[in-house]
Amino acid sequence: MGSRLSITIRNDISEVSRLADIIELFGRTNKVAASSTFEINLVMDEVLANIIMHGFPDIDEHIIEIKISLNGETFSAEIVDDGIAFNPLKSTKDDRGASLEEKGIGGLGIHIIKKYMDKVAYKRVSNKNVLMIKKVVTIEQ
Amino acid sequence: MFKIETISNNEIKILGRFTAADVNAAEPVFNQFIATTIVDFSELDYISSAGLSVLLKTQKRLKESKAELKLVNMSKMVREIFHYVGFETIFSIE
Repeated sequence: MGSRLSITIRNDISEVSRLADIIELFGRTNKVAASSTFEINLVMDEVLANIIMHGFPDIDEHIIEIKISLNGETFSAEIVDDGIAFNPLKSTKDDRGASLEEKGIGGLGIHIIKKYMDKVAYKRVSNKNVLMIKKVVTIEQ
Repeated sequence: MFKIETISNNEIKILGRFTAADVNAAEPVFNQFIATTIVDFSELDYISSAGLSVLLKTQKRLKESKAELKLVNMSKMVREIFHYVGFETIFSIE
């Protein structure tokens, strides 16, 4: 049995909290372990904060479409935005080993996305960024 | 939901999710610290890179005056995030 949900959010950073509430409810409804839901929400925060803060050079309102689903133990999400073309997988910055003085702010998000997701794929379709992520979650009995 | 509770002059507790949406609320609190401050993580669900950047900025500023943030009672998951992004070496974690 599968479960799916479509959510749209505006390009406003406060919307990320609303999305996290929806995903928590989705997780609880589908008996996803809290630890897996935290990891999903952490990754969604990284993805969406990046889109909202860097994706739109104008000051217009944009809608970001998110589809989430759970099939067995596999959680999938597809995030579609009409911002500037950006493939997060091509980010090469890595100062995780740097000292306090050398460490930069930012650039950590992509490492967190890759760590907590089992699969991450990006494509540019009809002037839109499409990011697909998958994760095998723990289901509580 | 993200919340900051003041425990004493030199100790705070952070609760819930510390994400990009919470940076504007958190920064004024962290900017006030001028001496070594304990941050209790016991009720923190997770912290994203935006939240980590607030801690990093504060740690850089405090270290200039020989003070620091001391992070206590981290969950296994949050500790794992710190480990993974290389933050374990720049904070005192108990």
